[in-house]
Amino acid sequence: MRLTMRLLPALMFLSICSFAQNGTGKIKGVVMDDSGDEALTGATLIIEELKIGETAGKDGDFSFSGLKASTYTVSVDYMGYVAQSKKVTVTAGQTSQVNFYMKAEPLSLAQAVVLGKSEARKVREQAMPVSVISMKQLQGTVSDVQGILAKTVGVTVRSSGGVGSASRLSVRGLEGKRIGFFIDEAPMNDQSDFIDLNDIPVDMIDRIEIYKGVVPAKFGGSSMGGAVNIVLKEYPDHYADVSYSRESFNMNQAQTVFKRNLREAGIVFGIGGGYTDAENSYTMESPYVKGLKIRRDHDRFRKTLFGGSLKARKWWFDKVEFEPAFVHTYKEVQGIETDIRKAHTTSSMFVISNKLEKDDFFIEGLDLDMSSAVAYSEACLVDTAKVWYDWVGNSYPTSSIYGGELGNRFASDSKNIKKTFVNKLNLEYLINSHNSVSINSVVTLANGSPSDPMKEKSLGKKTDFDSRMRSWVGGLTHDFRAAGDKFLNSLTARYYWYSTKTKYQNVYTNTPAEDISINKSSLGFSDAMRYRITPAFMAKLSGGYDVRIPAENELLGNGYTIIPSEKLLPERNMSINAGLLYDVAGTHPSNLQVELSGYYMYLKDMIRFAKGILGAQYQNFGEMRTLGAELEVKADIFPFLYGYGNVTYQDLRDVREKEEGSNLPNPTKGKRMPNIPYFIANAGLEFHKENLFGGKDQNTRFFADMAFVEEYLYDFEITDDVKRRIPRNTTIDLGFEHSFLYQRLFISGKIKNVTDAKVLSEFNQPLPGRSFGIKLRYIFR
Amino acid sequence: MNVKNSWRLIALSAMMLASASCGKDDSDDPAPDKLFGGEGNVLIETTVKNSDGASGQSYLQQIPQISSSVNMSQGIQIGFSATISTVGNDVFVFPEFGTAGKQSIVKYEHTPKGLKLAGEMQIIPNSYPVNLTKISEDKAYVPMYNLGKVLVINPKTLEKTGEIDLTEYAFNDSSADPAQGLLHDGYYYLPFDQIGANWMPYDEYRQVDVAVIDASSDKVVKVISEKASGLCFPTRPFLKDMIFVNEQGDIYVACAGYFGYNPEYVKSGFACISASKKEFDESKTWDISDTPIEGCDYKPATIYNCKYIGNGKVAAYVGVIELMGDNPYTARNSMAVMIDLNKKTIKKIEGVPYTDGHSVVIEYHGGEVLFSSFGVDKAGIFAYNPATEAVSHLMASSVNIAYLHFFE
Repeated sequence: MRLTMRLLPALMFLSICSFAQNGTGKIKGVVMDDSGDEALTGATLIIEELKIGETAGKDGDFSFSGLKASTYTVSVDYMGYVAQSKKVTVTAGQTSQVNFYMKAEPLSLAQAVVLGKSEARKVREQAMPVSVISMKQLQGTVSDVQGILAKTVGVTVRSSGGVGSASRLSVRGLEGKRIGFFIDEAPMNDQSDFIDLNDIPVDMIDRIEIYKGVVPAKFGGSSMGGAVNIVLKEYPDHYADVSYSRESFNMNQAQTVFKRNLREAGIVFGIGGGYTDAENSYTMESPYVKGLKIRRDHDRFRKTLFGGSLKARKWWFDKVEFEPAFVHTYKEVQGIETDIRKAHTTSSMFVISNKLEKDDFFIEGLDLDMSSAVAYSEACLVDTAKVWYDWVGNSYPTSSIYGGELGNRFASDSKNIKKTFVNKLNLEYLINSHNSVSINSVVTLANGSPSDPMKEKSLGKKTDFDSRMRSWVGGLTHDFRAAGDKFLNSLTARYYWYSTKTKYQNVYTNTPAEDISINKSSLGFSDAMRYRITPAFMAKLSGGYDVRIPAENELLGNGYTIIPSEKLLPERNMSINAGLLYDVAGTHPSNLQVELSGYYMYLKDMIRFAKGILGAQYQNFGEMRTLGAELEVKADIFPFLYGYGNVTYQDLRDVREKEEGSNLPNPTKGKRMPNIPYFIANAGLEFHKENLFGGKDQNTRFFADMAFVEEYLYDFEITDDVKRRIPRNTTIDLGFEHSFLYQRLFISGKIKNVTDAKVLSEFNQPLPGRSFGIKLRYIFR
Repeated sequence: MNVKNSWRLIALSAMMLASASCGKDDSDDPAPDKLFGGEGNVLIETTVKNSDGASGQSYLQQIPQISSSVNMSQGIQIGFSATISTVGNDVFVFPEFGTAGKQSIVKYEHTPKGLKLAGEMQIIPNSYPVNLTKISEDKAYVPMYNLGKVLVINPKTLEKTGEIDLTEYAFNDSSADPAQGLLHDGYYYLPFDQIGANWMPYDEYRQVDVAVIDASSDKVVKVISEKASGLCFPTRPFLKDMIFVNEQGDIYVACAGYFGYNPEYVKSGFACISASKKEFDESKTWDISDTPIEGCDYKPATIYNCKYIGNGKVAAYVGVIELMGDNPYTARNSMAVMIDLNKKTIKKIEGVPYTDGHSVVIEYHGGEVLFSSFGVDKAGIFAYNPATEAVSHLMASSVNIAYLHFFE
């Protein structure tokens, strides 16, 4: 759009000046995509020497007349395609023909930004509170999705170590399963965990949408605090992308994607994969022993990911898509209190998903959007070492004769098999140009079969049992859109149901295992509205009463580190969100976006993760209130300099009147909820310039990102001298990216945590200091 | 975007950078003479637990007296449910369950104006040092529950001076789980809990083992066992009074058994050691689980804590199966009772609320038995007068009181 914006005034001016001339010739032609199948209506053409312009018509046709005999340079520009120029010689009284066949260029910097922005803008202008990370922000800045999300207003990502370590995504202070995770709107973690955020190569992502508070009904499920939807890129006909990156602490990663578009048959197929191997061998300061430096030497992470895709556009449905995927991970357990040398986890997951889309599905105005996935996964923990070590190198026998160096008092050699089916159905009926209704449904079936013979031997009893969980969330939504898009309203009612069957064995007793059968249902509703005050200035208001049913692994544990909590109640959230959005992206050279949001949440029976004597467990936490405000500013400060900044303040407080299960006053009433950051800020600058160092078809970008998290406490602030805290963190990342051959060959590098600051985002879990990375990427197209 | 706006954005970034650079002092090193924990001659540990009861936060502080209510603002944060041992004016704070948080023993010195940090000793991680018994001015024993050894230290300097290896006495695993010991007549009597992976006694090893250690030589004289009664789990390692000596010199070891969680096995009570013979006296050993509790329809299924107050009388908290809830850490299943070891009777103390496992402190002070309790309607410290059998609510609290000590 930038180019278009620059050209338009010139076109308007020059077209007024142009008039019929004698002794002249003509240029005419068509603008098509490079397959020759698609006319590029609206493509902008300009004769550089004369500064006169034209727009391609319905069939891609254009013409310039009244041209003096001469040789001219005709340039053509179209969103998403590589711009072209051709020399054309005009002879008096004749017509010169020139046709342009343009190659799709989704990764061309300037145009990709326009594409990203136009889509992003549409999403941002929905009635729900949403942040959109466009392709521009995605390119090059950091290596993984988590890193990108962490810099988004209202979002925190808390890691416990290096690559592949456990991490938690939190939106407005709420985290875990209540944050929905979707890829192209297909649920990935509704009741089970198909895939990790970082499994998706950043290079494949078109944009990331982050919904906060009220989540659109089309996402179904029971996302409560928010949802992250990753939208993957559409690829040109022929496409291959190969990349390799290497980072400090011996991290190596290779990724590749191949796509082929058979336009005639309406079929697109692709295959991709990635391999990551990270030693994570950074040195950390022991949080337990003063002055002790520990080099992490048992933190290796390996991940293999294969995926395929077959998309058909002519099989009665508008789109039929099948995507098989396989993921395997191996992760060593790094000790911090003790020197763990053997324990590790492995997991394998096979999934095949299907997506069907059809407009006017049997009835005119009825649109179908359905996705289904079947997954089989195995998660294993091996903890059978018979000795454990302190950091001096002394060895000690494990508590159990069967081994177990993780300090659990029992050995483990577990295999936790899970079979999951998820179906999401969205039927939308357009009543008229202002009203539509939609029905949403998400069905999840999850069967778990854990086994751990070593744990059973150690404990002398079986404590993990087969489980079966069924859930359905149904929704009915009415959308109203006033004339001129002035006002939007989206009203949704939802019904939630789930049932669980399993057994529970009290670890302390030898009484027979108890049958657990839970069957619960609830209702929820939400309403979101948006009013457009001026074309660029909008106000948003939304509110809702949502219910989130506990996820399967919250209820039943994960077979090793999380113990069952089968009596967990659904959590309920009442929220009100208000926001103001000023957005001239795509309509003004500054592309300025300013968004200010405020929100209130009242969460009951909050499901909270807590570590206890016998392991970690999810538990209900009475009542909690949140007040929050977010401010985000993004803009092209100069044509070559993009900047962003955001500030998040989220004040989560305990509002329980009474101590649980008693009539005693709650000693933590009014106190800030522990272990949740409350003040976060991010800022960044990105400089970009074409051919900065001479040459041609090159582009250079430099970027600097800063993240700041204010100190917060691991516990309620009961005394003046709270010791357990997560210190204030400030990190600065720097990087560059240089592309050659018109965005085909990329070399990028980065320095994370430039100041080598001591960083924690989980209590007593030191993160890496300064690190370096370099990446090489080539795109064939 | 105009220039003004550009500068604003840049200013915002700069402000954030500047604010980030003004870091707080994260040092944990206090000034040497700084006093902590408030004024007073009464030491308490309070616990604010999470809803699961198995996690939360605990504080150590001094208060002038047991009265009105607890103000925790001066509390020193310690590990969740960390064990405290006091010797004279020295206060030793142990790590949280031995496996979490700071892996050190921290020593404070009591003054009426506050607690002064007097030293810190790194421990073997995950070793679970759990209590301290003074042997002499420059020697103390610290059982390491998870390692099955006793750490010998100089309590003045907090230096390790030796180690007593008890691993050979462990049943079926690497540690005999040495619990709360007692120094009597130059011998250190150290019971073994002999627990399995689930923190409960092995079903195939229901007996009471006690090591008799010569405190002068740090040598194990012998390990005595009581197998006839079926009692097991002798002493809870973080409760100092579950092993005591009566006026006749007999040593009683209170045994918790399965804490009432195994309804099929509720044997619990007192194993008695004749100090003169250094052997168990089966005639005085008493399984209390068959004895009805006077004043109610229940029988005890375990002993959670006890305090010998003389003349064969023991103030205790006993666990009752009928009061067990779903969650062992939050169930109010403990009943305050008076036990008569001579008459072998148990009587409920009316007026002390049923409490959970985090408030089972019993102290005998000023002729009154003080119970900490965390009831449904009332919590805090309750005073029981053995002479009048009257109970009063001395100090109100909305948190658990997990430790109580009066400095002389």
